[in-house]
Amino acid sequence: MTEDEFGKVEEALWYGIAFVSYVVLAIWHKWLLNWFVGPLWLVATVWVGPLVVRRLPWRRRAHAARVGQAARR
Amino acid sequence: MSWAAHQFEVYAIQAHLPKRMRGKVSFFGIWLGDFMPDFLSKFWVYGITVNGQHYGSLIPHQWHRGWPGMGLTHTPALAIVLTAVIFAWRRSRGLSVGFLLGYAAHALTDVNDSVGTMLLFPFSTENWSAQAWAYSATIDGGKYLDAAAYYSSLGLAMDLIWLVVALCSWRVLTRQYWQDVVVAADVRGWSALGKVLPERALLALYRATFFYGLARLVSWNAWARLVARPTIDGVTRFGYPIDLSWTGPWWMPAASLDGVNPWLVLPAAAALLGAVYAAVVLLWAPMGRAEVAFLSRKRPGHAA
Repeated sequence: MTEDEFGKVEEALWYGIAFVSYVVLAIWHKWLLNWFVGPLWLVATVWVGPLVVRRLPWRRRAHAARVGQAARR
Repeated sequence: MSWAAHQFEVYAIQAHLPKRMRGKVSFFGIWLGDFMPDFLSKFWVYGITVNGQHYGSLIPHQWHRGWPGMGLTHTPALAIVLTAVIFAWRRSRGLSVGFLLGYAAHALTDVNDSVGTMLLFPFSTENWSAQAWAYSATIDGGKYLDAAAYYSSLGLAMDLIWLVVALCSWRVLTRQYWQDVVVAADVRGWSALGKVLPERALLALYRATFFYGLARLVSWNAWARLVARPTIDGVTRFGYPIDLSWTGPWWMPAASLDGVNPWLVLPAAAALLGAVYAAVVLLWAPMGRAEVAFLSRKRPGHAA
């Protein structure tokens, strides 16, 4: 698995978030439904979403704890 | 016009390429070809309104599919001309063939509404239309009424058919397929994008057209069924009524142009599709030789 790949469940989750958020918002904001915003929405969510979540303070602490645990083993 | 069908057909074409072309026909080419007819013509169909002044076509269906108008953008003739220009410019067989297939698919899918396309342009300016659903782009109704009519008619069935065709070839959307077939056909293009985007963003970019098609299908339907409160014949309704009869929906006058007998249209479209595939198969090897000869001249050390 490359550094860039993420698990299938996490991947599906981000695609699901992108789809539901886009569809629901677009029902009331039709200007979102165009060739540019649609593809950009998916790429931005799937790419930027995980990066943002990984930088949340509690995720960073949990990650550091996991790394420390692995190092002690 | 067709809506999400044009997004799904990109993947359907990719999945149904002749065996010897798999991993060699550019997905970017298919995508560009499929979107080009509307890129060239649709911006003026609905037009824009600035400070109460409307700028756009006076007769949307005439502008979009007719002659005089931009109807030539939806013809096999322009597909052939643009493909020849692309091949002369880039000498890329994969890009050119992908472009031709995408363009032809768009023009042939659009024969199904009540306006159709000029399949024999420039020899004839008659529109070939199966009249399965009403072409509904109007100045007053804009995109909203157009979407409501399309998704209340057999247009909805057309989108769903293309969705099913694409889903039956679901492997085309997998990471493995993208890596093995799509990237292999377009190494330079994906490599260039890979310099600015990570792999997961590139894969999302490849899937994005499918995502957009599915999202607009669901979103417009949800709006037309659950949110819209149209007044039709003086009666305010909960959502637009669905009418799956031929040239429906009943509440939308179907725009049309002079055309051939609708019974001829689907057989003619199928024959044209077959002709395009046959031409592509026949030209594949000569185009490959021309590409190799060009590359050899450009880079003397290049081996076939």
